Amino acid sequence: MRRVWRGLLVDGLVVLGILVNVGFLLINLHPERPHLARRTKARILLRASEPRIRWMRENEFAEFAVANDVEFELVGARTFEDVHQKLIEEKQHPAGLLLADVDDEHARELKDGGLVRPIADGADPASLRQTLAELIPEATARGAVDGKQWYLPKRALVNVAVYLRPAIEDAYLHWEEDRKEIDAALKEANGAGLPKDFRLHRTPDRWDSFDLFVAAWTWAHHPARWAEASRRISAESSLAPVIAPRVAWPCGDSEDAADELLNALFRHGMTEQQLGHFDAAPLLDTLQWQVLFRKHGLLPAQCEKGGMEQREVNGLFHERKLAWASIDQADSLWLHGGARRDAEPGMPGAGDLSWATLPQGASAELSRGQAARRGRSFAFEEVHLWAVPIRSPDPRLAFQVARFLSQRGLQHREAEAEGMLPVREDLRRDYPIAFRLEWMQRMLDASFRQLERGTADLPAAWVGDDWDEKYVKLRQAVVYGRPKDAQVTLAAIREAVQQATRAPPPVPEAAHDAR
Amino acid sequence: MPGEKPPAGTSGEETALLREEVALQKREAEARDVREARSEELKNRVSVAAIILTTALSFIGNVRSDRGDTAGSARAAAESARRQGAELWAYYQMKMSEKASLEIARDRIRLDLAARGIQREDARARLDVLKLTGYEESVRDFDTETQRVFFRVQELEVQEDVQQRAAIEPSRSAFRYELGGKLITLALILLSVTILSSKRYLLVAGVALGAIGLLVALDGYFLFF
Repeated sequence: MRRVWRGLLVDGLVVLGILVNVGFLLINLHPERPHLARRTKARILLRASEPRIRWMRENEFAEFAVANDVEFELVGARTFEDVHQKLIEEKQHPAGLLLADVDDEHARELKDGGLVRPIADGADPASLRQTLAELIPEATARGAVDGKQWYLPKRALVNVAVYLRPAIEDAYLHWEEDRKEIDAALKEANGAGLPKDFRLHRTPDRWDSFDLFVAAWTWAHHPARWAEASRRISAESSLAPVIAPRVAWPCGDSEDAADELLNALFRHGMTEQQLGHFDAAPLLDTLQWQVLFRKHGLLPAQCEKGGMEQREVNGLFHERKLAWASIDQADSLWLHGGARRDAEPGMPGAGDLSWATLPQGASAELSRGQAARRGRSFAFEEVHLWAVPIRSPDPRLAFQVARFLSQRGLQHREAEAEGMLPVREDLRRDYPIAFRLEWMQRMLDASFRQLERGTADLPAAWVGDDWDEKYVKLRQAVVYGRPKDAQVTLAAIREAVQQATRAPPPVPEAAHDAR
Repeated sequence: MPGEKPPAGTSGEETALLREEVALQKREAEARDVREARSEELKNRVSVAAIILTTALSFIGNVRSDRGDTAGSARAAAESARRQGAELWAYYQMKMSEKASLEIARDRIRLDLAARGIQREDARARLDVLKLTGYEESVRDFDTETQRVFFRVQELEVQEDVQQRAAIEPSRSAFRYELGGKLITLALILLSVTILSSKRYLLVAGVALGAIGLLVALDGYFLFF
C-alpha cells in the first residue's frame, strides 16, 4: 500500500514538474506580468476645475490605474465646502469614495464629524514613516490630529503679490508728480500726510501700505501705456492709454473677499486672540486704508457694485488692466499661461509679470513722522490634504494612491504644470534647480520668501464661529456703506465700527449676491 | 585411499556448509539486486527531476533575459530622454542669452529717449520707435520660441520620469527569475551529488530546493511578493 502511495506521489510530482515547465513555456510567450486581479473601481473626490481634473487623470492617475488594475472615477467639487458636503453624503450613503482632497482648515472638523478615518490605518508603519520622512515636517504636522496621522499632505498654496514690471517702473519714476495730492489725501486721514522722508521703494518686495497707496494713486491718475494699450506691439500710437484703477483684491461679501480681509487684518498685526475685538488697532488700520482706497477711486468699480471674487481679479489682470494684485501659485500659472503646452493662453506680454511678498501692514496714523503701528508681510498658507472617507472601500489602496501621487516626479510635474508649492522636502530644497523657468523661479522665490516673512494656519474660529461673515459685513458697512466723502480719520472709522457693531450692520445693496 | 569409505559425519557437515554458503550467496545476490534496483530507481528519479529542472532553468533563463532587456531598454529610453532634454536645455539657455542682448538694446533706446526727454509720439523719435518696436517684436518672438523649446524639454522630462518607473517592474521580475535560476542550479548540483553518493536524502533536498527555485521564479511572473 505504501509503495502504491509513493508511486502516486512520484508520478504526481513528475506531472507537476511537466505542468510547471509548460507554464514557463507560456510565460516565455507573454513575459509581462498578468493582470489576474479583478479591476477595482475607485472614486476620488478632488477640489479642482474640470481642466485640472483632466490633467490629473491623464498625467497621474492613468499610470497608477494601468499598473494596479484600478479604474478611477474622478469626482470634482468646486469648493472645500462642497467636498465637506459630499463627505457627509458619503457617510450616509456610501458610494465607494476611496480618497478625498480636503484642506487643513476643515481637517479637525471632518475628524470630529466622523467623516474621515486616519490615513495611517491603511498603511504599514514602515511605509508611512518613509512617506512622511519625504514630506515637509510643517505640512505633515497639518495632517496630524491628536498625534495621529489622519491626512497626507497633497500640496500647498500661499498668496503673494503679482505685478507688472513696467507699471512699477512707471510708478517709481512718476509718483512724485502727484506727491502734493497724495500728501493732502493722507493728511485728511492722519493729519500729517506721507511719512517723513518717504520714498517709494523700487521693489514691491519691500513695500508697506504707504508704498501700495502711493503706487495705486499714481497708476489711477495717469494714462497707463503699459496696460491695455501695450497688448499689441506696434510703432503706431493709435491705441490710446487710459486712466483706470490698477490695484485690486477680492471685495464684496464672498468667501474670497473674507479670506483676503483676514489676510489684510493679519498683515496689520492682528492675532487670533483679537478676533471679535472690534476696537483692535489692526482692524481700524485695515479699514482706514480700505476707506482711503475707495474714496480716491484706487479700486475697480466692481467693488462698489457687487464685489469681486479672486477669479474676477485674475480676469482683470489677464486683460492687462491691473498692475498689482494678490494671487496664489495656481492662478499665477494660469495668468502667465506658459507652464505647459496645452495650457490656456496667458495674458498678453506675460514676460512683464513678476512676483513679490505682500506689503507689510502699516498704520496710516503716524507717530514722530513714521507709521505709528507696523505689522508684517503676511499670508495664510493653505495646505491641501488627502483624506480617507470613513466608509472608504479600501483604505490600503487609498494610502497607496496618495503615496504614489506624492512621489517626486509627479509632484514636480504637477507643481510645474498646474501651480502649487511642493510639499516634498527635496523639491522645496531643490526648487531653483528643479523649476528652471526664470519666471516660475521668481514666483516660487516670492512664495518661499512669503512663507519666511509671515504665514500661519487659518484660525479655526474664523469660519467655525462665523467671524468671516461678521467681519465682511462690518467691512461692507464701514467701507462701502458710508458716503465716499465721509470722514477718513481713525476716530471716524472707530465710530463707524462702533455703530456697525451696535446694531445689525446694514448691508449695502451693492454687496448683495456677490457670492 | 581409493575404495576407502569416507566417514559419514564429515560428509554431512560439508554438505551443510555448502548449503549455507549457497544460501549466503543467494542472500547476498538478493541484497545486491535490491541495492541495484534502488540505485536504479534513485537514478531514474534524479534523472527525471534533473530533466524537469533543467528544462525549467532554460525557460527561466530565457524569460529573465527578456525582462532584463525590457528594464534595460526602459532605462536606456530614460537616459536618452535625459540627454536630449539636457541638449535642448542648453539650446534654450543660448536663446535666452540672445534675448538678453536684445533686451539690453531695447532698454538703451528707452533710456536714451528718457534722457532726451522725448515721448514716443514725438516726430524726432520716429527712428528710435521703429527700432524699439523691432526689438520688442524680436523679444516677443524669442519668448515664443523658447517657450516651445521648454515644452519639448518638459515632455522629455516626463518621458524620463515615466520610463524610469516603467523599468521598476521588469527589474523586480528579472531579479526573481535570477534568484529562482540560481536556486535551481544549486538543486541540480545536489542531484548530481546524489548520483555519485546514492544518498536518498540528497535527492529529497535537491527536489525541495528545486521546488523553492521554481516558486521564486513563478513569483517573478506574478510578483506577489
